[in-house]
Amino acid sequence: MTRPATPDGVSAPGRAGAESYAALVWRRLRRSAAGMTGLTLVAIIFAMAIFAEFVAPIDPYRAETGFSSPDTISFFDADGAFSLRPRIYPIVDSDKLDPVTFQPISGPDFAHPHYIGVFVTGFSYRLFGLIPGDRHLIGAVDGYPAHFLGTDKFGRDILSRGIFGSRISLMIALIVVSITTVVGTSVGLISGYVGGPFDAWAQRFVDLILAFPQLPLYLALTSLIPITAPTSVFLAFVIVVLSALGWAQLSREVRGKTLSLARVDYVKAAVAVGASDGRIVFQHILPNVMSHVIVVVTLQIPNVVLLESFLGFLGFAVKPPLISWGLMLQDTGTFSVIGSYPWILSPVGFVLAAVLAFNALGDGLRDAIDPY
Amino acid sequence: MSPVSPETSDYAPPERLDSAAHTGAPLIDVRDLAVSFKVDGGVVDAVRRVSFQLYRGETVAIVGESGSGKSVTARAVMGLLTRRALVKPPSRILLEGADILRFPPNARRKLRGGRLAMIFQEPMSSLNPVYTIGAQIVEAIRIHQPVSAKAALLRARELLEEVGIPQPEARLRQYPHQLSGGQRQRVMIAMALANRPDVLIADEPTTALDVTVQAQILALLRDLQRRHGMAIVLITHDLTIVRRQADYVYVMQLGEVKEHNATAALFAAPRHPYTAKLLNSEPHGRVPAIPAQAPPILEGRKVRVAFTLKTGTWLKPVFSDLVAVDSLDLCVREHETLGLVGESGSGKTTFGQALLRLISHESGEILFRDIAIQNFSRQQMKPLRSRMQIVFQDPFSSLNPRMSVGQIIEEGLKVNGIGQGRGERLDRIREALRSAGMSPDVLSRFPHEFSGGQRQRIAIARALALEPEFILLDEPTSALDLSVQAQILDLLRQLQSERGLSYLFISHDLKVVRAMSHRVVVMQHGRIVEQGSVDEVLGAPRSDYTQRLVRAAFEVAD
Amino acid sequence: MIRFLIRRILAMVPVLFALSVVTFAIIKAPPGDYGDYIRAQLMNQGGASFEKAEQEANIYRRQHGLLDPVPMQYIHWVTGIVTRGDFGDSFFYNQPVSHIVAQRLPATLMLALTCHFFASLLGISFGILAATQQYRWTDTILSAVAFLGNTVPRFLAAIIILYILVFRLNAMEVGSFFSVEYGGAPWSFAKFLDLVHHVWPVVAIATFGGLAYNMRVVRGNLLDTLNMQYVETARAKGLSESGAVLRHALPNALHPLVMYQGVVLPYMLTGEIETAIIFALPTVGPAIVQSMAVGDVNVTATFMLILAATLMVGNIIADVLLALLDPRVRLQTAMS
Repeated sequence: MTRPATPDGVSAPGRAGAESYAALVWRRLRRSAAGMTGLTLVAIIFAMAIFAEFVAPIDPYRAETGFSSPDTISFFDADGAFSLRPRIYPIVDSDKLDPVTFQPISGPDFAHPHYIGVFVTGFSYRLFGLIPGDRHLIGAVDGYPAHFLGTDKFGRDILSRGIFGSRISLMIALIVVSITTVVGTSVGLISGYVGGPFDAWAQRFVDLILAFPQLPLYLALTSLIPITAPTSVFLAFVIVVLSALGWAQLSREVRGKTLSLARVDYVKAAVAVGASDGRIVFQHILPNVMSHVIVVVTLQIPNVVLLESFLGFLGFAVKPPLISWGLMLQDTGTFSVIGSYPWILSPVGFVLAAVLAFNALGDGLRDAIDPY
Repeated sequence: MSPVSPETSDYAPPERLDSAAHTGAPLIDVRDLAVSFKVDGGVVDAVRRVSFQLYRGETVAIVGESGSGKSVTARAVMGLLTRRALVKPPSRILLEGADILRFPPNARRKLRGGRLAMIFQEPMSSLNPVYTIGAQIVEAIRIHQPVSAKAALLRARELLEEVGIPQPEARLRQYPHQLSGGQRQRVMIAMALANRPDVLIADEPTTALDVTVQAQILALLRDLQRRHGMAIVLITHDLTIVRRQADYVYVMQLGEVKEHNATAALFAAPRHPYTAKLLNSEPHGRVPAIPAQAPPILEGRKVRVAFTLKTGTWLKPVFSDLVAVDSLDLCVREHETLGLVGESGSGKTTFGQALLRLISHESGEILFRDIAIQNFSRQQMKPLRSRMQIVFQDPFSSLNPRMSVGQIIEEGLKVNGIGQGRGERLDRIREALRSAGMSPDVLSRFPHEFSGGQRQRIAIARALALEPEFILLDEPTSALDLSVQAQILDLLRQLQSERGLSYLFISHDLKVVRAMSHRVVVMQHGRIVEQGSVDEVLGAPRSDYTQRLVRAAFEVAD
Repeated sequence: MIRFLIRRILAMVPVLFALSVVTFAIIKAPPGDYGDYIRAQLMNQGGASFEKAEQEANIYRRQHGLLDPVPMQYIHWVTGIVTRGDFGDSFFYNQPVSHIVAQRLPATLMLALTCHFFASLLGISFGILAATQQYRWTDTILSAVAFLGNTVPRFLAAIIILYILVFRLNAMEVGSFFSVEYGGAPWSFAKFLDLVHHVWPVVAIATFGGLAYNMRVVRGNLLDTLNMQYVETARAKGLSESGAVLRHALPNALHPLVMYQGVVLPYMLTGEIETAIIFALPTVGPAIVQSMAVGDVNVTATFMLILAATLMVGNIIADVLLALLDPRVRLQTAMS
């Protein structure tokens, strides 16, 4: 379809009618493959965290044989023919003996397959503490505890723990990011708009914070937590520590944007009609800064998730009965364990998925918010 | 291929009307040029079946507003189109008979900077900031001539002399940011001349320059043309320049040539309606007279505005005072339009915004209807704000992109408590939009959906909604196309006579100021050079500077 | 220039001072100290009773000033640094901390700089490629690579690569720079190869992340500069496309990259630290983690300080480079 350029040299917009900024961003985001993939994945992850009881096949606290390997899903029946019904064959000891060791040879018991289905009955729970239920998204139809990712050292199902762990890890991330966003944006706005001595001191403070080598400082601060402290203290501490350093960079960026926006013509026009400072900041400057802030927020969430898991890997994690990805990675520090039971590394997959999802969404958003 | 509009073939035949008057074939003969661009969501036809001819040693002007396709045409000739451009058959560009569109890329590249040279609109961004002037000119030479660096540098020096740059030796070692706008354009011309081109294409070469500098550059081009017999294609939207420089004119709109003729004939008797409309859009007429001694509405006495500048190097900063407004007096009377004229850096915008208390001033009195407001706080200014409004120059940065049109206009009403309740406010907003010539149905739309002229109307509606007595118009039409400018100026004049508004009209364009103002004040370097009635100042200027301005703006003959 | 340098270096001092106070306070805050470690060792491995071990520990504490009030300890430490260049002694390694720093810091810096070098080289090249091939396959693939590099967390990649190396490929001696044969041997090409053999995972992982960052910045800048008027001027002069891109667009695109050195350096350092911790290479990262675990205060505090100082020096170098490279910054602004 050819369209002549309008006399003003601007190609006519494709849609007539009101198109708010949000709608414009959404339209552009829809066209970005990476952005939409990220958005879908993020939605899935959040759904998984919210409905963890439903999604997880096995009670995450139920202990069985430690370090058992993942159950393999097979699509073949006893005769070797392909079937669409997925199933797990339990490993049992057969009657035959190994000629060398005289140990019974174990193999799949084709006679008693456990069929995998969706919406199966499993352990009971109360969704949001209110709604009782016992259906689960996926699992063995006959109630056999299928360990799709194997078990950890206490015999707890890794997949279920990973699903439940997303709650804490995401919650920490969301709280930290909320705090850093609010603090960083406020400081940046006030600093940039008001200027003067507040700005000078705030900037010096920000410089100081940014001069810290971040990782060692997190390590040092986290080591402040006594080993015996209750989990709530640990959580609060982690949140405070991660927030303490995270707001500085955002405040600097917001300040920069505020400085340039304060000089723009439409702000002068607002002054010319008699608008107060508050109105100018909240109606004119903040909305134009928000788009940048949203992108930063989206990209900071994976950073916090990563930090939490790295700290967990190093030994600083929440305590049971809470489950987080960092806690799950605490066991992966010993090489011997990884060597013999590599599935113990599965939480890495969860973290990776979350990180990739948020980053993809953040990248897509960043491309979408750039002006028309 | 899209059909050509019916009138076009009548007034814009492929052959020039004066082809018989020229001996020999044209130097450049463009036939049926069509260029389209791939954009998001479709294809845009930027140029549709354009034909023009250029003979040796003459100047041909291509005139049009934005979107006319004139720049694209120029770039097609030079071979500077981007990858997203498609030159469609049966386009032909003949250089002395050979179709250069069929040349292999390397042969076309040899033409660029060799026989065909081009200079652009923005001299600041046209030169690479990290190389010296000398290095850039030398590069232009050595691409086409096998000479040593030393020889090329000598030649560069000669070229700088030829284009009238003082102290060429020193300039060669300087960087672009150390030169003024006019000097940079001269350097661009020097680079273009380096290999004695047959054709120089100048794309709006003076649009970004001050009026007095414009005249110098145009004179330089004429001079060089005479000396070297170079043909010039002058692309511009400024009709005065066309009248002054061009031998033949092509008028383009929306990718087509609407009419072409020899300059004098075109201006005397335009035939295509668009040409007539364009010529008519030149600011003309005068404002009706007002009573001689109307009371002052906005007055400034000994107003001084100064900034502290930090120049010098980053490692060794030098602080200096820049006095933008040097203790000046100004008086705008009721119902009148005072034109405040000056080139860039004269301080006119600073002065205007200081009078409106949008910029802080150092000293002096400012009076609005005899109320001294120079020391008023924001609180104290608030009740007066609705009486004195402003319209800015750039329609793109004066409307908040995140707010709808309704919200933008409503803001002033809300802040000043005008109108009881939403319903009444909406009525006022619609009324303001109607007065500004916009349909009242656009309340829920957003600025980015509108063109520059429409946005400026929205900005005017924003000012009108408060029913002010005084409006500061800060270059309100400088960023707009000629025809749109004419409409906005008509609107402003109409509003003034309907509502008895007083205007302080700031502009660098003397033609606009003459058509809009009762009295004129001329500023230069923070000082008032001359003031008086519009006929006095622009008809019989007394100071040297004003005379130069007037000559540059109005004189058509050389 | 000299004045500027001096001013910046002087500006570093108060920041370092504040940092040292904060670091020291943080490290000293948790209960327990190295004395506890000694007591634990004596009890676990020496079979001593709690009282006896505690006695020994107290002797040690008194000897090393661990019983003094914390501010006193801090003052001791700081005066030591300022007057004698003495950063105290490491309890764990039984050596002056400065020795340990001398052992480990150069290794960290070398690794980080190597990663930085490769990340810049590859990142810039890929960035140029992606920008000039915009909308084609190359750009899409390179963008995907950049995305992965930016998002795959380095320590996770390190864990996975470590797993693969040790358990699938049976690599030996992962936690050192050299194999046993080359440990003390004089430098030779073979020794160099051995070094590469050992450190390539760390370099690869850190480089991958930095490469992605550089590539994105260069690509973005180059896409902007390619649209600048002066590039069109270059083409109008008759310059070939590659000439216009490399001689006119690229220098302007790389400029901002110099400014980013201030950001890239800590990124490289952190990356090196993260991966080194996983691989347990004898560099700064593991030293910090280890010293924190046992309460080897002087080591922790000193390394934090040194790292901060390195970062600040890096920033200063970046600023100086920018001033040198950009004529607009270097020379006086023109009279209009």
